[in-house]
Amino acid sequence: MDTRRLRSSLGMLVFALLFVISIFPVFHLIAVVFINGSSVIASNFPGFFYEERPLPGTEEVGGVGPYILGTLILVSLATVIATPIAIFAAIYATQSLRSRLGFATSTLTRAMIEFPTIIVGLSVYGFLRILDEVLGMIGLQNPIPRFSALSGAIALAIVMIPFIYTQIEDGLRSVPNDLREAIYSLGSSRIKASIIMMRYIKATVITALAIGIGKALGETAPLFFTAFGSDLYPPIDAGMLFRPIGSLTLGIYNMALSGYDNWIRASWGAALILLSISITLFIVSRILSHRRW
Amino acid sequence: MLKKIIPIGILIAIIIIGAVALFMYKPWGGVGVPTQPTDTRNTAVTATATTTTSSGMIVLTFTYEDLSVKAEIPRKEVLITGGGSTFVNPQMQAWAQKFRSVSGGYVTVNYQSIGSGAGEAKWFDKALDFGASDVPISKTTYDRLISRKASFIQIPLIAGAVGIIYNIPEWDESKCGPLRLSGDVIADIYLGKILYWDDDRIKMQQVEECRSLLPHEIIRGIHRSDGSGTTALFTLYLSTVSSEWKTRVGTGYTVEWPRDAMGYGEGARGNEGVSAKVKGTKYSIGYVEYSYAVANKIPMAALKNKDGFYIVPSAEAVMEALKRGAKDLPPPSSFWGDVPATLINREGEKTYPIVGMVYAFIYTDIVSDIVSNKDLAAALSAFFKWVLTEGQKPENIVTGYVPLPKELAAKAIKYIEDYLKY
Amino acid sequence: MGALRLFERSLFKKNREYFFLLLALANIAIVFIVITINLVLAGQGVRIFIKEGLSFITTSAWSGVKESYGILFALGGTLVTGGIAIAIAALLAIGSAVTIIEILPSWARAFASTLTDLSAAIPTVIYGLWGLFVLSPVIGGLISTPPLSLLTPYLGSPGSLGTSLLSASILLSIMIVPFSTAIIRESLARIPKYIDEALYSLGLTKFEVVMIKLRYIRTSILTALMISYGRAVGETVAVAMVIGNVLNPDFWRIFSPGYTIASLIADQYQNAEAYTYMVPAIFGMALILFLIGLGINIYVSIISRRG
Repeated sequence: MDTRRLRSSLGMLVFALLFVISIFPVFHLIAVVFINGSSVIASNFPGFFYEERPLPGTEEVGGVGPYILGTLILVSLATVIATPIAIFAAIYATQSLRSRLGFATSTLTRAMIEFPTIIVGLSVYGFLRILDEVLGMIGLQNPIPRFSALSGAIALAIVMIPFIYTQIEDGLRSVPNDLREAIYSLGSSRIKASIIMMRYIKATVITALAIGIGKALGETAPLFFTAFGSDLYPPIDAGMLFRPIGSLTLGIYNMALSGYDNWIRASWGAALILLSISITLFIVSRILSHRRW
Repeated sequence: MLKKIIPIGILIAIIIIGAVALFMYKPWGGVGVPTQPTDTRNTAVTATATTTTSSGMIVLTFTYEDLSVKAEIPRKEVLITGGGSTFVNPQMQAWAQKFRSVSGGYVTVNYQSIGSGAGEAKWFDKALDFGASDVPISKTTYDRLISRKASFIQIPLIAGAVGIIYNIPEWDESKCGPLRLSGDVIADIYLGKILYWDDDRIKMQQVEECRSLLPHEIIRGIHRSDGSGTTALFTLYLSTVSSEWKTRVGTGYTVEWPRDAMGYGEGARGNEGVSAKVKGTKYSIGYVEYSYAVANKIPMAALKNKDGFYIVPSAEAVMEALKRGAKDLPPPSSFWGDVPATLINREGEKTYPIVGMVYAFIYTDIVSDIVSNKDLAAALSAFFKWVLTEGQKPENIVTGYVPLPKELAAKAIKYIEDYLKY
Repeated sequence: MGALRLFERSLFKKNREYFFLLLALANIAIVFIVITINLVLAGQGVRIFIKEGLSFITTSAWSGVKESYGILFALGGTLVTGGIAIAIAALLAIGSAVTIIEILPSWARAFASTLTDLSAAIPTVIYGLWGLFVLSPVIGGLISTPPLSLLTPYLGSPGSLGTSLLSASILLSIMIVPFSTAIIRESLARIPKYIDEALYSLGLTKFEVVMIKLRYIRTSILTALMISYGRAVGETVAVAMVIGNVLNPDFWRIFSPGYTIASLIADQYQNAEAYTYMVPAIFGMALILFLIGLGINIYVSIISRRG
């Protein structure tokens, strides 16, 4: 009996240790970003949030305004595109039993996660180029320019879809069978049953969205040949979505890899802003989901 | 089930097609609604502005030494999209920012460092208004341009160099100065033929009292792992000075490194990756862009030039090579593949041997392409004229970049004036 | 929620099934996206398969100058790092999920799970910098001192700053843990309370109960790991920073630097278009990566349907 208790305590201790190991790097990272980033933002507050980036090799602090604007536009557009597709597809795949299409989506989305995200960007560019040519042949103009906020949002949406989809599909599949049977026994249509189940797994849906958006916020590679980037404020008007646009990640990537001190400092500030947006997003999602775990 | 899907599918298809058609009926592309920008013209810039009434353009005069050029800027917001070379990015951003205020806020240049190869390809695709690359237009692209009967020009914008960095803890720089190396030795290090730092061929190049400082340690050869113009320039130099390098490895954005195969070499991503690895690895050698090394105050080795002088890279040493090499720029629409080699390993008492330029590619027939492009062509012309004059002055040059000699700038400006009509 | 109910009533009274079938459009969209991407990949990649044939995947070469490409080294590196990363991540993720659900007091759960979820959103370039300057020197030190250094003749030795296939695997495992943790955690939490009570009433210890519950959700664990595997093999920037980026044909020597397909793509796409066959090679290997992933996922789907 004693050895069993001992083994139990030991086993649980191992679990706890594994948790600590997996959480430590995150703490370390957040601490590093916070320490480096906060001093930069403080040195030009609040200008850092709306100014353009400084000239390289000077003492200017500048700001990351165009990047913040771009990230907000890109990620919200991508979310608007990706969320309905991912949710509808997940509902269809789980509620239509033995459907080949459901099986295909379920398998293909999981394989989609494996695309290196740069490939998504290259493919969107390639697809739009072909579209250009095809539409050009019949005398039309491609509505989506290759380097534009729209094509960037499409690339980001393609990256997001599998992350949202798999979480929701998994959630729907884990609805207890008794509940499922109870719902259908009331004579509900499949769509009504789906809505009830979606309400049941509300927390999962919100987590899925948060992970999807978090993923989109942190992506650099798919934007290279789509959103393209912009370091200065573009003219702000209705045509904005059809012109190149910047993003925090592209800004961080370019500035961190440059050799100039003030750019590297600005990239730490931008990293802190990006991280803060993610943290806020997660806290809000927790509050929304009303669940305590 | 299929019967139910088909009618719904058709309905949806009609809706989508309708939406797309509506969308295209009202194309948003190009530059947005012109708004009146606040006049933020930089008074420190020597440009003077007068307005011509006929074309509604702002006329500015730009100068560089005794050069003086007139340029016209449209009174409309114009967005120029350019991309390519990572090397030129910090300098290009500085130019873009300053030129916007010079143009009275009308012209915004959006440049992104997507890589030289991608810059060339995306410019060829006409996704970019101009491409910038560490090498001139490649043979493949050139042939395709010719077969497409495209009219285009290529011009140099700014110069740079590649510096050799090293990490030998025993080496006392205050006493011995920078390490001295020659091209054939560097080639043999990366070829794996010279293994140790105390190899006679390295030793004999140093001043006598410092020779014994070189340790019997294996040299760790660090190189760029990502495709880069820096590697292209560096391998072009090695191919110039070592025939074995030329035949066994060659010149390119990425090559196969013989030293890697022996286990004494390693790749790193970007200039910062190479410099971090050299800093963190005892007995290593690497190469980075001169501008990067200057901005980060990394000491560089002195290289033996064609006349046998050991030269540490500096703006003057690079300028010497430019003056000698780029005297005869070929016509702008001919094949420029041989231009970079003319700057490499030049003679002279103060000439640094690994020097290169950044080239911009511009289509000159853009006006006939789409309606509103007269403004774009004018803006492009004005921007590059500014870059080649005011842009070459010390106050507009970012630390570590080397301006073009006046003669070269004058030639490039002539190409713009002669070919880029609007 | 009231609005949602109203929405249901007004819209779905009639022809309910029609509206359900409309959802299939979303699935068609996803299938369309995947097929389009693969058509682009195949359309571009086919030239490299024609040029190199089978030697594209059975040899190790990467030279734009010589236009010779063989991706065995990157393919091997991908499988090796992905495999090790999954093995480590499985342990860490199960440990984290169990700790969050079974050990932590309820007030700490929200915080802990938010933290793990959050780490999924940290930009990979930051992970890469952290991996290069913090993690990989530690691992490099470990594997170049005894007892691990005794394995050097078989497993190789790390590059500067400790870069190696192993460092990349460990960094990857840290990066993918949040994804697996989230899924395992939610499955654990969803096990009905009465099962817990029944198990404890049998006189089992907490550890034994946990192990039984883990067995109960093994399909979820498998799914979680497969998703993570996808994440691991698709990771580009962070891996490129710590893997050493060396063309290493002996990819099983995990103590030495190497390459993965994704990091090779990240390294090469910028200037690939300057060469005739490099773009096809990049698209070709992305296609191969996708096919491997597809194969594994079909296998997992079949298993999980059976379970």
